[in-house]
Amino acid sequence: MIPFEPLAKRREQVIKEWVATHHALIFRTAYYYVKNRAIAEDLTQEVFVKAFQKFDSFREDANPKTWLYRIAINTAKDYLRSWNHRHLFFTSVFFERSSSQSIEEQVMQQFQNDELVQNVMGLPTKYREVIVLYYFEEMRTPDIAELLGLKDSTVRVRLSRGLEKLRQLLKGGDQDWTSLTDS
Amino acid sequence: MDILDRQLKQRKELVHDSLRLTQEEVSRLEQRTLASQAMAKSGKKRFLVRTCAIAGVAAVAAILLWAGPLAQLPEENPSQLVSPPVTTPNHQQTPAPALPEAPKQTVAWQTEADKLAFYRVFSLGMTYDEAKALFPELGELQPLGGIESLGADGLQEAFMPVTLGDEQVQLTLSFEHGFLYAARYQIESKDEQRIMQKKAELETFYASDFGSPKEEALESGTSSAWSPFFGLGLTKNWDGRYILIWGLQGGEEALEELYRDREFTVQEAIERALSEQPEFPARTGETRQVRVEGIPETLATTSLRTKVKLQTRDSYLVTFERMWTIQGGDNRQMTIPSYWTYEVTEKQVKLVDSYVADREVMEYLHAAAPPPKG
Repeated sequence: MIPFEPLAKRREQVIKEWVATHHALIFRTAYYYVKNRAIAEDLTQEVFVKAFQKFDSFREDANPKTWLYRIAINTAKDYLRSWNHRHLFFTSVFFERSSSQSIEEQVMQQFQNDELVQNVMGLPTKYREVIVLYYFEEMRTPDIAELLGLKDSTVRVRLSRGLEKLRQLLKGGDQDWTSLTDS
Repeated sequence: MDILDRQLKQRKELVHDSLRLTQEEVSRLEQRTLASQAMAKSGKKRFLVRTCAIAGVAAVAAILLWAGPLAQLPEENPSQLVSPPVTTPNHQQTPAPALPEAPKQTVAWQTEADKLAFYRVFSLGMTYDEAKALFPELGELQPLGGIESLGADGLQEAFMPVTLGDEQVQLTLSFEHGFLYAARYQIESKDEQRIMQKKAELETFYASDFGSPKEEALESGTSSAWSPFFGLGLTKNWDGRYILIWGLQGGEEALEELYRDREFTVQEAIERALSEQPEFPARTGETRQVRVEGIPETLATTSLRTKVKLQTRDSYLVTFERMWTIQGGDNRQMTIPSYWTYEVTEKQVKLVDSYVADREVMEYLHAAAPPPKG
């Protein structure tokens, strides 16, 4: 008889550990795509549920962080393609508003009010994803390329074009960003 | 390394501090993840339990329907199905009374203002057939976005060309499981000035009903929301076309919960109106079938529905509709509605329109129903 129970227990233990270790990374990754806290939280749960379901396909020697990252990116992109996202099209303005001011919300507000972050989050997805992974998650371009299924050269080009777009956007902003051009 | 490069690296900490879950949220995440797996495992068991439960509920409902006639609803209830004081009808000798004529719903879009105020015509929860009856030029139903899998999930849309001034625009009606949840206009143009002018005109037009919109940046454009249920999006396509979309859309359950504290929502309006007639569905995407006491189902059935029109940012018209489906003597099926429309604000619920055919229909049915055996 196949010992189902011990395997299931082990899986449960591993998933618990993964949630504890990687939830912040997965949540941030989801947020980078959907730009909405509540939806990113839901997607984070979806990622771990998928990881639980696909646990058998996870190779022991693989890096769980990379595996979860990939599930997170695919889940977030699927979400953006879904009708739910279209459904929210008009309403996201109201979604993020909150009258209460907990410390977390104040930090979130600081994040939302930061001109540079705002502009990064306003970039088209293909530039945004490489910029956030490179700068905010400190990933190297070959790792980003592997994660996104792109060539390293493509990632570098997107990084460079994304930065160029950012420079253009920031020139018209509140702060004096004119010195941001390549020196 | 230039300044931008350095600034971006410095933002890492802010991003990590801002985008993190609280300890409570992490615990919830872990619990839900494990629970969802446990639920998937016990799916078969639950199915069996649910089937039994549904069977049990159905049995109880059948007993209640048999024992608790609708005709005993209190007199004050404007939607009650009144059994008229009918003496035993003589089915051979007495012809059935005539059925009432259903009022014709018509729309005359004469002016541009009529067309722009399309939220006064399209109700959240109306069906495709109802929309088609109002606008015969409405196209056939198609899967949402042309994606078959969405169609299979019950998401469909239909299009209609509309002339707005000198613009030819497209009106899209979106349906979920047969009920309207969104109605939007769309204009496309490569002329930025023209499209921006149109946007400004729309903002002026809708200001009287909805006030000023809140605007935010979107990927490749902007989104302006007058309310959670009425908004406008302007985006620039990769080929240089500007796409201006605006219209109404129903709230999802999760969104309704979030808006509740800040806005008077569609769902809150329905809940307030239900205090007048609690037997109607609490959502616009539902139909409730109700058996008519003492009348065979082969002769007549009724279905209850709830529809909502936006009126202003904080007032709605909630319509409760009882649709009678009656098998006529010549094997022709007839549908006759009774409806009650309430204007609902946070402060009051006021009946503003109604058409009640229930008494006449019941008289007809009692006369037409076969005599009880024995």
